[in-house]
This record gives sequence, structure tokens and C-alpha cells, in this order.
Amino acid sequence: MAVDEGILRRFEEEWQGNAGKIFHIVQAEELQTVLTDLADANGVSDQNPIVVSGLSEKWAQWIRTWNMKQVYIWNPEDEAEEFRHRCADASVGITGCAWAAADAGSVCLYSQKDSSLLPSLLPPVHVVMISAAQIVSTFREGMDRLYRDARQGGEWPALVKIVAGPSMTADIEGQLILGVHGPRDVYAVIVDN
Amino acid sequence: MAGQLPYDNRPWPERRDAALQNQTMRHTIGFVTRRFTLIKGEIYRTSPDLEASRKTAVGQKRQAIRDLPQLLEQFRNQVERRGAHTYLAAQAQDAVDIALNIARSHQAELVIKSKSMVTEEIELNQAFEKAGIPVRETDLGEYIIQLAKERPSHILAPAAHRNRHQVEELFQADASREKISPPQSDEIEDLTRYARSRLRQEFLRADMGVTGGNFLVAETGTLVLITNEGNADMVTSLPPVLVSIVGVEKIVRDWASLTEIIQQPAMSGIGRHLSSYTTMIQGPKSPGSVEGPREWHVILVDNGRMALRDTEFEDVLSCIRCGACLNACPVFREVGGHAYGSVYPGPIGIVETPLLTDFQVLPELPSALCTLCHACQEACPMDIALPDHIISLRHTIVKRHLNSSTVNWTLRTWARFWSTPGGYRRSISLARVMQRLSGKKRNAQGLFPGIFAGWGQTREIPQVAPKTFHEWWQEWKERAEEK
Repeated sequence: MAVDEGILRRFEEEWQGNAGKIFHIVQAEELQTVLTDLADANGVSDQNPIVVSGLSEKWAQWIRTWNMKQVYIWNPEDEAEEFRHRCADASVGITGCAWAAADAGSVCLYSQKDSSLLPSLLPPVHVVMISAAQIVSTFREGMDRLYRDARQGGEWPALVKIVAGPSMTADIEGQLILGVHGPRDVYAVIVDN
Repeated sequence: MAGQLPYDNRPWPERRDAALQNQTMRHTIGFVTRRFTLIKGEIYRTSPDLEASRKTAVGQKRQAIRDLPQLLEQFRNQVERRGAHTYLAAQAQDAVDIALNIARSHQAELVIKSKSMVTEEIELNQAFEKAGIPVRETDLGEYIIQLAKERPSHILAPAAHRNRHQVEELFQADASREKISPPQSDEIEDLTRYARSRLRQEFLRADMGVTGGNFLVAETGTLVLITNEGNADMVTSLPPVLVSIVGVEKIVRDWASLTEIIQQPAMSGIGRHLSSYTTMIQGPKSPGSVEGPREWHVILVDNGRMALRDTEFEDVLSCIRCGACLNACPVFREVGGHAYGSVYPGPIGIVETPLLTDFQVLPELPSALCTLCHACQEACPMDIALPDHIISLRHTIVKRHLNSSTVNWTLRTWARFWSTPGGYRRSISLARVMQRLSGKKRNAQGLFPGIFAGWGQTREIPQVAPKTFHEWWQEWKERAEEK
């Protein structure tokens, strides 16, 4: 599917306007370079690993072939409680998304068996991987998509989360601070087809 | 049935003076409200499609309020089908009792909460503390005022009345109580970091979560929560039991209505297309999922809301708690939220507080805290006729004899003089004589009898001119004719 450059540009603008950061990649090696830099910058270690959930099989494969041992990819066969602890200690969380909306600079994540929201919430850094074809032009279209997905799936996901920027507050003296409870940094990694 | 609302029992002049003397609060509130107003105007100007959505949302929301009983029924069916529990609480006390029962039946030892105005309204935290169940507020501003044992001074910025030094003192005391390391300095960054690590432990430990709700969708059985901090995500994801306490008026009919309205709180409140986090809950977690509550309870709170349906005040139930009317109000900008004495401050608060409680609580608000400048009307994204309601409430207060007899006597006398030109002229000559007799050259302050004495205390009353314009005009004309 051809990617609409206008939509892509609008998403980038709005996402950055929401204090998010952007990377563009086309293949596995580039992803690994980006993630290695992020891992180095954010003190990834055995105690503070990288947690991953909700990626397509191809992207999960890209991550598996990356030469990094402190990476945990959620598998529905695993113990949920253990993954939760890993997320609480993790320094970087990586997720996919269901769709992204250009005009609001936002991404939408569904909580399902094979896709956990915790990597997007507990670590100080959230990396969301988006295929360029997943970006819709307006938030309104995204909402329609969510409705259709839930209808077609037969059951609504218990939790749905829309992210439009890092966790932030202006509760003390009106001064903006990033990273209150959720991530301080959110990165969108856009994968061009 | 009338609702129950907590209130500050100090009289208005005392609340007012306390507010006006609090320079920290006035500075922050002044800054925050003006900035929010500015960016709100800007984002609607640059997003014509969302302005169109807003108009559609207003119509849909009005209809939803008319259909409220059916929509609530539909919502309850939807979420119960997915295994959640729902309750309808007629009054504040009922909602508190239901929540306490849930907590007791799970032997909850620590409850974490995201921000919710309705839980302020029903005084949930106080009831839980009394029952020996600690509740932790996790919105940074709410956490600060919880430590200070205060109420929010702004719907969106609850701790706007405290500066960094005061917050540091609260955190230092908290750290020594908890025997953990205190914030490194009174820099806002360090204070926020302290709150993050302090509350993170409680998020992971808590056995029950409490949220409010921004919207309920009848068609799909969805509860929508909007935050910038991500704390509602923590509360909905981590504890095994979740209790959502939501006013019945938060309902919208269907997904299409949600689509129109969902961006309005962020647009009107903080001037963004969306807040950082919008979370939708549809039911308890499915087996095998990592996050979400095993048990979900939704308490729908009436507390005086249903009684407003089919009255001229029905549109008040469309409020989305964005805070835009507070930010635009010249009175709120000066005195902040505490001076109102109600959990709901600002223009919406002075209308809702007496209405929800059938004038049992703070009936003086519509008369005391409004200049009828209509700024709130212009700011309200839901087109609530706030100034009309304020006037109407003032009428009701007179009709129901809720003013003191001195106030009534004074206003009647004033009205008698000023309702005819002759009476007006007589009152002016009288004031002139009084001014001369009292020997006060500067102004007519202190000349007023009865209620006017108090009125004059807080206002600069101009000097009565030695000659009125009409008198001067008459003389000028006569002189001109003589020539």
C-alpha cells in the first residue's frame, strides 16, 4: 500500500508537537542501531532490562536477532506476574500499536492476551513501533477503526489506551515537567514499508 | 432528591479575605488561568473540524441527558454482560457505603486513586481513612493537597495555591514519616521525581484502585478516563480490584457521540488535541492478560443530578469539567477555588452547588461571586447558559426568602429610590448632604446604612459630584437661553 506522505508528515509534526520523538527505519539493522543507542542512553542492564510486547511477528523477529541479552518479549504462555515485575524494573519498553492518528499526533494500543500495555506505562522510556500504513489521517478515523476492530473481534479489549505524548504535569507552579508516573520519553519508530 | 455536598463553613467575607491575602495562590492561579484561556482560544481557531465536533457534541449531550434513565440502563447491561458490577447511588453517602463495602469484602489494605471530582464531592477519602483504609491520591496536585489536608483550588490544577518551597516542606515531612529519602531540592524536577518513586511503590502494592470517569458510553459499555500524568493507567492496569465512581450525567449515547466529544476536555482544558493519556475500560481483564482488574465495579452517582432534569437548569448536566469557565472568570482569577467554599468552584460551581443540594449548601454563591460579565458563557464548550442560570438563581434566592431580612430591606429600599428618575435624584441629593455632613471630602464610603456599609468596605466608591450632569445641563441651558 502506498504511504501518503502528507499524512506521514502531519503525524510527525503533531507527535513532536506533543513532545514525542521520531525515528524512521526501513530494515532490521536500522532498528537495531536505534535501539542500541536508546539502550546505551537509558542504562539498560540485567536489573533494568528492555520489555517488549504487541509487535508483529516480523518485528519481534528483528528484535530477537538483535544482539542484546537483556530483552524480554511477552509471550502469553509466560507468567503474567513475572512479566509485570520485569516491566516495573525495566528501563525501556517497546510496543506496537493498533493505529496512529496524524492530526492528533497519537497512537492507540489495545490490551490483549498477546499485547500488554505495561511496557508503555511502567518504564521511563516508551518506544512505539508504527508501520507507516497504520497511520490514519484523523483521530476520528482512528475511533471508527477501533469500533470496527472491536465489532469484528466479537469482544472489546478490556483496556484501550491512546497515547499523545509523554507523561506530564504542570501541577507545581504551572511549570511543565515530563515523566511523572508514566514515561518521560516517548519515541515513535516509523517503519516504511 | 437533593444531593449532599461538603462545604467550608467559614462565612464568605472570611473566605474572600483569606484568598486575597494568599499571594502565592493568586500568582499561580492568575498565571495558569490566563495561559489556559489563551491556548484554548488558539486551538479552536486552528481546528475548525473540532469546533464543528463541539457543536454536534452539545446537541448530542443535551439529548443524552433527556434519555438518561434508558442510557444508564443500557450502560449497566453492557458492562455487566462482561462481568462487571454496577450500582446506582442515590446520594453521596450511598456511594461511599458501596465503595467501603467493596473494600472491606476484599480486606483492602491500600487504595490508590486517580483524580476524580465526584469522589471529592462524596468525601470518599475521609470515609476510608475513618474506616482505617489508607487511600493514596496519585495525581501530583491531588497528592500534594492530600498531604496538606486541603481541598483542590482548581479543577485541573488542584495544588495551584502552593509554591515549590511549600511542596518541598510537605514532601520532607512525608519522607521522614515514611523513612525514605527526601527530595533532593525544592526544584520542581526533583519534587516530581520524589513523587514518582514514592507513588510507584504504592501503585505496585495497592490491592484496590479508585477512578472517576470522563465519559460513559451506553452503546458499548465503555468508561473513558483522561489524564496527562498516566496515573489513571496505573490505577486501571495494576490493582486486582477497580472501583470507578462516576456521576450519572457523564453518559453519552453511542460511539459516534463519544467521537465528537472525546477531544473537547483537552481542547478546552489545556489547549491540546488530546491529553497525553486517554484510557478506555470495557470490562474486567480476560484470563491470561497481563494488566487490568480481575473485578470491576462501577458506582453511578446521582446525588441531586437527576432532579435537575426537565428543569431550566438541565444543561448544567452537560458539563465536562474542563475548567474553561474557571479560567475565564475574572472573579476566579482573583480569589481561586478555595474562596468558593465548595468542591465545585468557578461559574459552574456557583450554579451547581446550590442546585445539587436544593439550596441547602452555599446559596449565597450566585450573588456573591459573579459580576455577570458573561466570560464563562463564551468559554463553555458545552454552551451551558451559566450567566442566565446565575440570574435565575438570584431570583429564586429572593423568592424563597433565603437572604437575611437586612439584605432584603436594603435592596428593597434601594430599588424604591432608583426605579424612578425622581427617586434617583432624591437619593443623590441625600448622599450629597450626607457626604457634606460627615466632613469626608474624599468619597462617600462609610455613609451607607445597613448592608451598604459592608458593601462599601470592599469597593472604591466614587465621590458624589457636587452637581449631577442633569443639573449642570439644566443650568447650562438656562444660561444659554439668557444670552
